[in-house]
Amino acid sequence: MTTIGIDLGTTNSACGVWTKDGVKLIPNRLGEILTPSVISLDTNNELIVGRGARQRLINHSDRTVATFKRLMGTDHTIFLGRMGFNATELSSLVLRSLKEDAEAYLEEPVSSAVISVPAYFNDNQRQATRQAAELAGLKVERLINEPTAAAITYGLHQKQEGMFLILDFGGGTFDVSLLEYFDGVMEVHASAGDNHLGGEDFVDAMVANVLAQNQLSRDTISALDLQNLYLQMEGAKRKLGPGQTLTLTLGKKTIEFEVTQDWFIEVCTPLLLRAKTPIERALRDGKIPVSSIDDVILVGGSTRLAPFRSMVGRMFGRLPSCHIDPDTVVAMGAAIQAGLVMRDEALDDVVLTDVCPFTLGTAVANEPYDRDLSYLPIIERNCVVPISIVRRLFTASHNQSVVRVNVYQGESPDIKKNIFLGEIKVRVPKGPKGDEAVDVRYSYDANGILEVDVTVVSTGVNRQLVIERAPGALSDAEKQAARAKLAGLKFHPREGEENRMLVARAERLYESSLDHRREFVGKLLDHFHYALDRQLPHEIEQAQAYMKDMLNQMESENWF
Amino acid sequence: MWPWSELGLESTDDVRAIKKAYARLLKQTRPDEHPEAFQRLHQAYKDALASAQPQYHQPAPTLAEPAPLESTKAAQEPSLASGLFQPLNHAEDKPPPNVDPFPGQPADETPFQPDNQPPDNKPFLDKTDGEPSYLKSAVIKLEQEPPPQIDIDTAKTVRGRKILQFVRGGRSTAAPPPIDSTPAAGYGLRILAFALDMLVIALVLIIGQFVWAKTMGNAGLPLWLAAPALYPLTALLCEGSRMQATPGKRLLGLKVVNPDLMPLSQLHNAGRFLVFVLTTALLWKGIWLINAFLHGRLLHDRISRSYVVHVRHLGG
Repeated sequence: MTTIGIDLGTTNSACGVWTKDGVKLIPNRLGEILTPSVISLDTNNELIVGRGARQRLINHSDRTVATFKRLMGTDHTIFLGRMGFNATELSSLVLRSLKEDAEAYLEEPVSSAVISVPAYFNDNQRQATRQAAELAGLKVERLINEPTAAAITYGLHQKQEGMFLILDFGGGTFDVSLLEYFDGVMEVHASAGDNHLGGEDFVDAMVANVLAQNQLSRDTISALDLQNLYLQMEGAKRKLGPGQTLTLTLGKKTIEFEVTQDWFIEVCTPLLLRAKTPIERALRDGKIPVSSIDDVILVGGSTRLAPFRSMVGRMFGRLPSCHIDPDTVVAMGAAIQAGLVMRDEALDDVVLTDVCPFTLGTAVANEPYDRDLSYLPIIERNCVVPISIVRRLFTASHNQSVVRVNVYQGESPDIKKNIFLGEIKVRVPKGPKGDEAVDVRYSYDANGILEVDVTVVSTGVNRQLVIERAPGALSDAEKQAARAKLAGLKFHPREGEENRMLVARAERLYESSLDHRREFVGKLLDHFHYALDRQLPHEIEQAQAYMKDMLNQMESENWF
Repeated sequence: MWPWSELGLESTDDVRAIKKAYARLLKQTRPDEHPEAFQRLHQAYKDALASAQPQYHQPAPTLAEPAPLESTKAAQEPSLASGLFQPLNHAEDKPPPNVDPFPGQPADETPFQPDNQPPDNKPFLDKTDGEPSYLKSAVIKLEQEPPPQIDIDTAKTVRGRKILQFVRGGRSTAAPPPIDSTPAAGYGLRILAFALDMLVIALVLIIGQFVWAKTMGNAGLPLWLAAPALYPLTALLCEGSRMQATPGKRLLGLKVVNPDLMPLSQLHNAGRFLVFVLTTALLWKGIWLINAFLHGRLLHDRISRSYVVHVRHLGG
């Protein structure tokens, strides 16, 4: 039985395993390390996960979904064809695919995993991630914060000691962690982040800007055109360099659009400025002088953006490091953590301490200003976990018979601006106000899961928090139903995956080309189908290689 | 608490020794196995560090705003900008450590923050005079107003389409409104509620007239006959109040709600009133017949997109 480490990303996912000779990243069925977090359902209700699904994002956009990690912890439903899924279920499909890849690669069953989550994920989002793993048949040994995973990779793999500032800028989230590694201790000093800032936002801003320039709105152009525009902008973002001219189809008109660096910087500056806030907060909370930071480490695909690197360079007056592939460094860290959890002897002398990245508290009526409830922090952000803190609270009015403890997460003094996580009600004996007391205990464990427990001092009655309708959370019955629904979905047979991916890619190229280019792709497709129909393995292999070669030549930009 | 005994050390300024002692003890008190002992040890470690290096207790410096560079400046220096972006794009292919990704720029020109400089109030980023030219193209045009903060966490909790723009592909829809899974109150119940309302209004009028007659003398006409005309007005006042129901509906446990099962806004309620008056005036007795076939969602409910449901379906 093996425990694997999984990086479940907004754009791409990856997994790895700890072996006797160190970390091993696990290739998927296409032989690639990165599996795009994209799900598509074909007309036979068979699932396509990864690159094949990503190819279908344009011409089957109503049956394909990407970037759903951003909906984790909410109850939004995405429809693929006629079937509705929430983000938890979609994530579980990606996890299931990764699990099967790992089983095929390791040739043994995989039943548990360490999964990385953005440090700034809240309790609901962490629970949703856990449930996704459960639905995929994986036991979650540990949820690890992504920057921490990256730091583990740098610290343990590269044997670097010292103070690191990790900037994890992924497809959907931006996380900052300040860590120190010494004598086998990996200590997180502070974490901060922005849950809704990532590479996808840059593309979003570019698309919005292009549409605004042409006086269009999202609703006035077709879904196909919009998806196309997204993919073109994504490509432009990745190739950003000396100006490039794109031909954009927007509804009825076709325009030539020049993507220049100045334009990109102008569009993205507000987003880049947002990235500064968490960096400053982490440094302030960690109480570490900037001069004692030994290295600034970049993690996540979005850190490849030149303007971001320049900004970091300016802020710290030095060049950040990124000598491990920023796309896989988190998966490697998760795999090392999996090894740690299994207590592999090679890792036995390493201890990891993490922090709770946000403040958890409750609402209280403070006399004499009890017009409104005010926020009472119980666990302050960036204190080391596991931690358990008790606060004694008293009844606020005469003859009060029930005490309600609301659980909030957030930093704002205004409780309405914090995230409501749940509530507990306990009965207390009636009496004059201030006579009865409850002990409220908040316990935050190393997985980032919060437990709240309320005890009435006089009667000893004890209640624990069960967050009843946390958005996106499933009850046991719902879990059963979801499991049944997902079990009914079959993955495409593994052998055909590569071929199907090529066909999808060619079809997309066919739709986006014109004239002789289109004709040529059509011929290629015919040739390929012919080879597939003849079912002679060596011929299929040849046809595959040829097809791949041709398609690569045709789209020299390989951003799918 | 005295941190040194917890760490098994004599009082010392040697940060290295403190860290060594902490690391050694931490391996015996792993956080997931002995959470409380770990908290004690960690606190002792922090206290020891704080007394050994007082600067740890100073607030960390705030990073400066990037100096406001005009974007026109970049436009004047196009070659510089492209000069920067070119090597950076190549740098993404894992440059080996300690190799300067900017060939042509002497490495010692990199503006490292001088070590051991106490964090003063003058943020080092203001010292941009001596910066190497390639950093200039980090053109951040700083707007005066703060960057737009999207209040996602609020948006997320409100059922709406705002958040869905972040998801690509799929036919994304919000979860169906809760009203879809909530049965409407039946026609029979609604008629009963109406009859009760009439009774209540008539009673009020009779009592009112009785009191009036006692004090001011007889008014003549039996006023309770005006009850049907007063019904819409009662509905307008009561359904817009916190009761969310006319007295008759309230007695039968019914409430008027919007598709989110929330109370109607005053405007919505006024609309509902108007629709009720108009449909009744237009169809007169026909409305009874039509409503009989509408499965409890009466004509004016449907037109005004309001719902009458039993409180037991509202979940408290």
